Amino acid sequence: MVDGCIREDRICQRELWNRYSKKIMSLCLRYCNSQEEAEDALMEAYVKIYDNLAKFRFQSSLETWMRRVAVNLCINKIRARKHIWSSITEDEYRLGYTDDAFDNLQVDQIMKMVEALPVGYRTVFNLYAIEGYSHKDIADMLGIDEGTSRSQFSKARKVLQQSIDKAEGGSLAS
Amino acid sequence: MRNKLHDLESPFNDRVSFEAVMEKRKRKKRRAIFWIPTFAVVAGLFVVGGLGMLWVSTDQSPEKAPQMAFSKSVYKPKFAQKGTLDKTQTLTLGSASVSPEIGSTESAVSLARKRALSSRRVVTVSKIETASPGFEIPEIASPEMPKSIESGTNSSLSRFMAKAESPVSLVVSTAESPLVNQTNLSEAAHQDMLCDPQGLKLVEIGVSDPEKTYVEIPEGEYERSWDPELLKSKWYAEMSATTGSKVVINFNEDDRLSVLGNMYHANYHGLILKDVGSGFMVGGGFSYGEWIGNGEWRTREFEERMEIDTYDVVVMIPPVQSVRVYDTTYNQVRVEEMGKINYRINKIAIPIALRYNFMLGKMAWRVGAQVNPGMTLKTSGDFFGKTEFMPIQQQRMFTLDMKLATGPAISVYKDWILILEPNMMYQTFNDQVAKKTRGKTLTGFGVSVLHRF
Repeated sequence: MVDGCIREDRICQRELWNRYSKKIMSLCLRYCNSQEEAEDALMEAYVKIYDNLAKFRFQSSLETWMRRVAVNLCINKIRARKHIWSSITEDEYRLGYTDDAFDNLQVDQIMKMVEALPVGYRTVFNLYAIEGYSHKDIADMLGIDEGTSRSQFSKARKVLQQSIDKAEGGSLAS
Repeated sequence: MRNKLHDLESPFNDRVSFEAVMEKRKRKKRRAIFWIPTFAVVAGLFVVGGLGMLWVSTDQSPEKAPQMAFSKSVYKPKFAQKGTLDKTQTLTLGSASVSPEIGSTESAVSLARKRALSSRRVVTVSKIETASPGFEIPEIASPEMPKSIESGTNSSLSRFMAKAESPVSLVVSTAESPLVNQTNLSEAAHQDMLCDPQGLKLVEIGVSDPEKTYVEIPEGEYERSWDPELLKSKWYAEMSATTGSKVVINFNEDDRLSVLGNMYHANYHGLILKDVGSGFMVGGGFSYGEWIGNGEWRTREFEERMEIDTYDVVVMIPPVQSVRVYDTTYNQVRVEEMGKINYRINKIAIPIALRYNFMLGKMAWRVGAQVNPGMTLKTSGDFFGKTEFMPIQQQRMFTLDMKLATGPAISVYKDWILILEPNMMYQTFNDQVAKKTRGKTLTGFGVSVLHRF
């Protein structure tokens, strides 16, 4: 399929779209502020993917590579908005949720909670907790300090924990 | 949680589709076709311009080149004659003695040269004056001709004046001797020595460091008449970027096939032009062009369709029976089909150019005509007109473009001229399969930079 896309074979390109576009859309939604923005990011990401597929070296899975392209594009959009990142102390960093806290929630609920996070928290949370980048990598990608990245993640966890508590309280009450 | 979110699929609106992505990609490429080469040409022009300015400011600036080679500082009028001074005569200048070669301007110059070389003494003919009212002073038309050249000798130099009875006097300075001496020369000798019966203009010549500035003067150089026109080159280099577009629209409902599309072209050329006088320039060079088009085709066809309506009629007369009636009608139905269309033609050419420069009020204008015979490099897609489209053959084809442009010429720097040209370009290619020449006229805008060598 990759070779076909490089050869500009429409069938292969369409197959690539059909197979991954919804997953990439989900990724874009987590980074972008709105559905429209996410859709634009998705299309831009696919343009980049088609244009740069010849550079794919098969050192990772195609999906991973595509996700990275989409993440980089979303990050560039966020950086262009010149978001101001706030920073916290190391103690605050240790506070927050445990990963198990999400186990009882539906994926849609998690998604909504993540989308509801402020941009800074959401970006770092996505990159660290979901994409698996290190704080150093995140700091490099976003052009911020490593400490700032940690602080954003910590705050995101706190906010998420509150949301989880609220959601679980609501479900128990019902 | 990570896995849950990784595998999550989110829907998107209808506006997001594979076709939309491909269209976006095509638009992006189309932008690149125009902007990347355009930026490259403009950047190239800036680099060339910058280098030209650098060259002008370093090598040509009079401020930075106060000392001139001896040979450049000699002014020899056209009617100079060789002197007939008695070679036994000696002009003594302090400790320096002027050898008998002083019999003409040429002799005076070679005297100075020889002095400078032999005795490390700077003997500079710094001033030649004439007081004769009968002498006519020839005009020096060139601003480049130095009327005064600083003598580079140190401040302790003394100046000596050799004053003769004749209306012509020779002022000579020497580097070493502080002594002042005046030696009279015979009138005839002076007249011969200063050589020009038409008269001499006030001219100052000299050298600062003869060891460094000495240049061998070839034999016969003095005899060459100086012509200011020699400094004016008639050769020019031109670099140009031209763009244009054309809209193809057909709303005629009667046509079976109609096309709605846009054509664009970008053309880049470099030319060498020669000024042939009367404001005309002719020249040739090399050109590269891209001509693309995209749009939609639509076919409208009427089909005659047969429709059969059936109904049963019950006949109530005993025995009751039913009769099936078939009602056949023919209807004309309009069937429309639509599709995308695009093409690309990359080509090279060897343009032949004619330019005419003129003044309109206080503004300089230029009219340019150009013929670009060439050939295609790469072709793809379907070429289209208002009511037709046909595949472009992949083999190389001959092309012929004709351009007509006019616009103001703005002098941006010494010898650099910027021309802004609205233009009209007729582009053709020879379709060997259809044995037909296909062409379109596109209008647009161009920028040219002209440099005089």
